[in-house]
Amino acid sequence: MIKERLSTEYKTKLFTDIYSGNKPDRVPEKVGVNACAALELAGYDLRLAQYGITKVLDATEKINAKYDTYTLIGTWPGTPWLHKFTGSRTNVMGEDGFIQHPNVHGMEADEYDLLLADPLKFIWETVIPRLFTEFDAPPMKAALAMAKTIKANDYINGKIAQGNMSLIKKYDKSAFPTFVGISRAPFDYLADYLRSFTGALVDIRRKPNEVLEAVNLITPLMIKAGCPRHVETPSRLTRIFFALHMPTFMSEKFFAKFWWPSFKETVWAIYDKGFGINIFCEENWMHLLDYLNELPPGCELQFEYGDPKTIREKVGDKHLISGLFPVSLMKSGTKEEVCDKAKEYLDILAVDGKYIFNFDKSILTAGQINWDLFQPLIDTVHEYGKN
Amino acid sequence: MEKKIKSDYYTDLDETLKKYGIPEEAKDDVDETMQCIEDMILYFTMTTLSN
Repeated sequence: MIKERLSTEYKTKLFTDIYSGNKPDRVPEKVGVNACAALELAGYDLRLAQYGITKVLDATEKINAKYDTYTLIGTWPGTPWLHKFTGSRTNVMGEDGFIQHPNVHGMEADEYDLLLADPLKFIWETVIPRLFTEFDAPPMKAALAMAKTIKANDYINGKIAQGNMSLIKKYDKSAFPTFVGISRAPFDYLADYLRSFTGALVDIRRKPNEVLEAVNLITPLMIKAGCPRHVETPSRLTRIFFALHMPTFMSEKFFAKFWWPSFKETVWAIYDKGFGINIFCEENWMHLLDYLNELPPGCELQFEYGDPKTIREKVGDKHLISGLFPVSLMKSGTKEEVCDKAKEYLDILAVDGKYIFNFDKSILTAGQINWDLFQPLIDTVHEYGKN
Repeated sequence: MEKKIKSDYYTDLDETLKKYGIPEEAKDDVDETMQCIEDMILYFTMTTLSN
């Protein structure tokens, strides 16, 4: 059978249609494959290649030349050059070349008064020098390190973005950007960047009022972050991405009190500015699904675990559903099992044009899956996903 | 109503005009340049420097 060649325009329209509330011609697919997997597949040493641009783009080209997906895969590796310029203590390259996140935190339990007085001032004057050694320096040396950081971020990421655009055209991939900006749930920001996972969970019992006030003050910062200025005309096609971290580690009582209200406020404010919303619901959200219906319509909800039928029934009318396909099956399963599982998800979720095929989690390493199963899976989604 | 950010490390458009002594009449122009950078640095602080 001769395989159909779909154009960039056709693939792009699948996404613009679904995010505009129209039923796409077939199920869009945007599977997560990390650049580290692409670098390994191309035979590059992660410990070295991530410091450059050429090998990163070459690895991205090789994986996209080989596999026919709707979106560009194998993009955006770690940014060790950024972590060196900042002296990051939160992102450190491990011996295997993957970026590790040591258990460090930027704020102590007795520093809420400083945070509450002026969150940004506290972040700049206390947290940043504490977590980034290059900024814990005399003023002009810290200023020089910050200048390098900002310039590197713009220049290197700009070069990679340019390279990716060329590959999108060359390999007929969708030109629709997955997202244009990132924000965080205010409580997740407090936990992940300031107090640490365990610290935040202790604080909600010992310092509940301080935590609530902190989350309240972080909320406008997350709203501002979620309305990036480089997007001149926000629309539902300009999507802001949230990865949700803490909810499944909290009791529902604490979730409802400390986590949910500020997140809901953040999402609605960004939506009201015109943006679309993409949310990755990490872990298993089955007991929290009803809350998601309090969000504005048309959010893309990517799930990691859960029952697709229940998810479809509870949130599928209001939102777009994505994720869930168990990437681990591509390691342990046969070709038939993998393709049948994809059809099973499509049968349940692709009933009314509000489903985007994706994995439960991104492929991070080359050894994580049997690559002989990758294209058969993608071909199944492309063919079986036709309306 | 959107909550206002009050900080020594961020100025909104009115505060930016006042801080740098720029006439009110240039408000729209400053929004395209200086305020845009002010907001971009805030985005950079909350995202890139959090990574």
